[in-house]
Amino acid sequence: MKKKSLYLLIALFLIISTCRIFAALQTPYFSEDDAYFTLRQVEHIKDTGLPLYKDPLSYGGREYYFLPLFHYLLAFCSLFAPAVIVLKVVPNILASSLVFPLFLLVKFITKEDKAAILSAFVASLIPVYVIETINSASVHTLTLPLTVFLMYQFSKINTNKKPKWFIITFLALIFTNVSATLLVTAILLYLLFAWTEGLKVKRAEIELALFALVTSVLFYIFFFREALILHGPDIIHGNLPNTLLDNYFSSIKISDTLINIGLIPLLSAIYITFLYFAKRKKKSIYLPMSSAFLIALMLLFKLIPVVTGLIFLSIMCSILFGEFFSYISEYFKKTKFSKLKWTAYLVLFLIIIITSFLPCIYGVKDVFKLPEKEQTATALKTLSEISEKNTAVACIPKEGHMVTYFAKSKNMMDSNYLYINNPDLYYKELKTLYTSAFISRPLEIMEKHNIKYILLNNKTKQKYNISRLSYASKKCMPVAIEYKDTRIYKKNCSLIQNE
Amino acid sequence: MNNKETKIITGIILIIILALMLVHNTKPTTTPFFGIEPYYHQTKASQIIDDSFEFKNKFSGQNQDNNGEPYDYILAAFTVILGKQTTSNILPIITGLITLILVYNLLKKTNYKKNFRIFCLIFIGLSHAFIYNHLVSQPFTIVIPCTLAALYFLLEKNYTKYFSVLFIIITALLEPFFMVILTVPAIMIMYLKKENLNKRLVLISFVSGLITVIIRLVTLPYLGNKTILSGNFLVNNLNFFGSLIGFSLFAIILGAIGLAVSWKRKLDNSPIYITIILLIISSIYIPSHKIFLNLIICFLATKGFIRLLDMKWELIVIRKLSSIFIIIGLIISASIYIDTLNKHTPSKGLVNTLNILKSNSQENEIILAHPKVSDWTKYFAKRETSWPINESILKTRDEDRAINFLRENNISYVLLNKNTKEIMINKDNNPGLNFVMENSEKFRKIIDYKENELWTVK
Repeated sequence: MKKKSLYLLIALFLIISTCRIFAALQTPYFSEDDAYFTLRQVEHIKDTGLPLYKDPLSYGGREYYFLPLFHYLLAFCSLFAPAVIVLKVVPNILASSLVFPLFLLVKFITKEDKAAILSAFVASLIPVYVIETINSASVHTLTLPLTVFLMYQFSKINTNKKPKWFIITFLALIFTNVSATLLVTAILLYLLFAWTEGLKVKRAEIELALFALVTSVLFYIFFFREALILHGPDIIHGNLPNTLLDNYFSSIKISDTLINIGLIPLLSAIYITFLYFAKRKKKSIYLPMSSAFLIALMLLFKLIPVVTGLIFLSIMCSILFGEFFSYISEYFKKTKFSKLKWTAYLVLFLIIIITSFLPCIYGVKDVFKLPEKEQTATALKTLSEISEKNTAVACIPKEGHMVTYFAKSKNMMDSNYLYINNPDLYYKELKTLYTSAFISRPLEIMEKHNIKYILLNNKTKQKYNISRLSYASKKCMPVAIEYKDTRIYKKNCSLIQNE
Repeated sequence: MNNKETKIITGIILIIILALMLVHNTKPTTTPFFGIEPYYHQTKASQIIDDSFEFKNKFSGQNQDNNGEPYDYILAAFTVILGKQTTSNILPIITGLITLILVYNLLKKTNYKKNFRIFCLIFIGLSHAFIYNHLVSQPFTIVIPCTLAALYFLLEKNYTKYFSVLFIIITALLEPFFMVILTVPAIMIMYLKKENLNKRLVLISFVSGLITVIIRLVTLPYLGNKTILSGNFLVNNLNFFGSLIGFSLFAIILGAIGLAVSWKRKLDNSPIYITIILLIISSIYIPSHKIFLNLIICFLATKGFIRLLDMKWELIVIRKLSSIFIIIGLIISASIYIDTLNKHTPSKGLVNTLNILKSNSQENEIILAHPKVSDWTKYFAKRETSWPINESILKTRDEDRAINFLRENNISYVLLNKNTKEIMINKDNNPGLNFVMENSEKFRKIIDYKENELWTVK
């Protein structure tokens, strides 16, 4: 690597991470509910050294096993700073660090520093990647750099024959997120593509693929054995209630994809895919190509949550963009317009700014408009002072972790559906709590789940198309806490009294 | 077999057998056996011994007299000598030991190398279907070693080869359909193999086997007793989804590699492919056939594993790690399976409830019990059970209809557990018959113990 490229890369990393951290610190709240789950886990690991697998507050008390490496990393960092700050800073540093493995991979594919730097720049401005990871303490801020680094190590194995870093990084990835299976499948698909294209598949590649397959299958079967036995094939969709399946695994629209990934990376990825399928052959490009192809297929067949799928797809597209840039540069040199090279680069740069950077800015602005979170958090903090022990709060699943974190109370349900028997029933009962016209059935449900409070904020009102609880009354269901548009109702009567 | 080899093989077999025996200690002390089948067969065996063998499976509207199967008579014979619990627990382990010895000798006879034989024993010993077959007493506990013995003696050259006829007949008696399936590859082997096989003997063995099958089918209703497999294919066949007789994913992956390796000699191996196809089809109807299919999968998995080890590896560290992970995977997979098996035992609460039922009820009284707990009820409470063909009656909230149904079928007690309560929930998501029981004076709750309730009908 040239020194100039290295400095540029470090500068890019510093600029991106500074901007991200600066933006993230503008609000004390997180944009995603899952961040509060991570926060609780980090605090628990910090205190006890172990993850909170037996959570006494989630779903009124349940077991939930998750891959803990990301949480351990954050817990380690939280030894030096408050956990909330760590969750704002560290994931953004990790997300920005993607530029390094991405640079290495694109450089390996194109053998050009320029293309690699530009690719890293494009990847750091991908709208969906920035919006979804800037203020959510998302685990993908670690999985993506690891995945891209693994792709680089895998591609390089034929030249250096040293699998040490691949083994270490792969083990780290399987302890971080199940997306390791995505990489394994992509590697297998790559071997298939290379074979069908008549390219010689090296023995070392097959060996690494086999190792990755065996290790991931062994680890995940062992780790998720209870969930596998409990849910069977439903585990693919995370045991989501049927009514929510369409939201998480919905069909993707072309316009959304263009905005989320960015016009230039997406079009260049499509062009490169067609080019290397139809005309040219280059083995190193088949791995990111097969990854992109696999994720696109999974999105099409609703096998991966839309947001996760788009994040991974966008990064693969930005890798393919590097190859596209290299190809275009070469092509440009052969034309009469080669003198206008820098003008062309400038135009391309402007298009990237308009189609990636501007959607990013707009998206990020929305991420930090969190009056809803602020209201709900304030109400829940007040609740933590007045609520009795062992009582549960009913709220929509997307706010379940906020309830456990701020109110320190049990929730009726949250967004971690694994290990929950019949989440559809919970979902149905929750809907009844908010939409029932009469009090008897809600009382029955509240007693079943030991619910004492019902949270009603704008998000809930919008979700169930209600303005208040129809059965609320001063005697039986009075408003216990009211802060701006957020209300918390308290159950003051029991089913027997009511009858 | 040299001295070192003998020690290794004896060691492996002893470890597997010892492990099987130790697994018996993992189940609750209140439950004598794993699974459901041992209770069913042991109840029948006890009735054979008591000379009062006329077992009735009462269904509302019809009575089916169900005579004992040959396996129950074998079990009864052993029970007289060893006692109930020892027979149902020790007999499968002994047959497991015989199975492993036979597999080893069969592989040796067919010229497989030492490494292959050792790994094949390890793969079989750690396979879930083998663990099931030699921990849970049921007909295949004897069928598998008998089949292997028949194959072994068929390859013998001295007078002992005629023992094969005997073992084929025993297999045919115990599992007629399994016998039919084995006949097809046997005929193929006859025409394909030119050496080491007495074609005439194969013909005599299998013809006598088929005759036994015909006699058996004519004299006894067979298919009526069998559970037709229903539900999800993956859940029923892959162990990590909780299947009771299923396959480990590792064995399947390695088996697929082994199949690819064996494809080079596809004509010679065609009987194996045909057997696999036939067993896959038959196991849809008779899940126990998966136990034999498992032996073939383990054989192929060993082929796959040996191929992986023999392959020229560029990355030595990856070779070592992959082999270690595969072996660890098989061991962990087996230990997880034992966990699954443990969940298929009657709970302490149920056993206590059934003991109370036994002391409260008369011998001729009938119990309404879910089919899943029916055999446990017969074993522990020693009472006949009943379950309606049309389950809609259990969802009713009509007191008169419920009482009429129970009286028509002479049901005096109702055993409520989690499964029964789930079935009783009607389409409005409300409890059915259990609601009637709780609100009617004609029912009285005798005991409510850890999700198990016992009600009597006045």
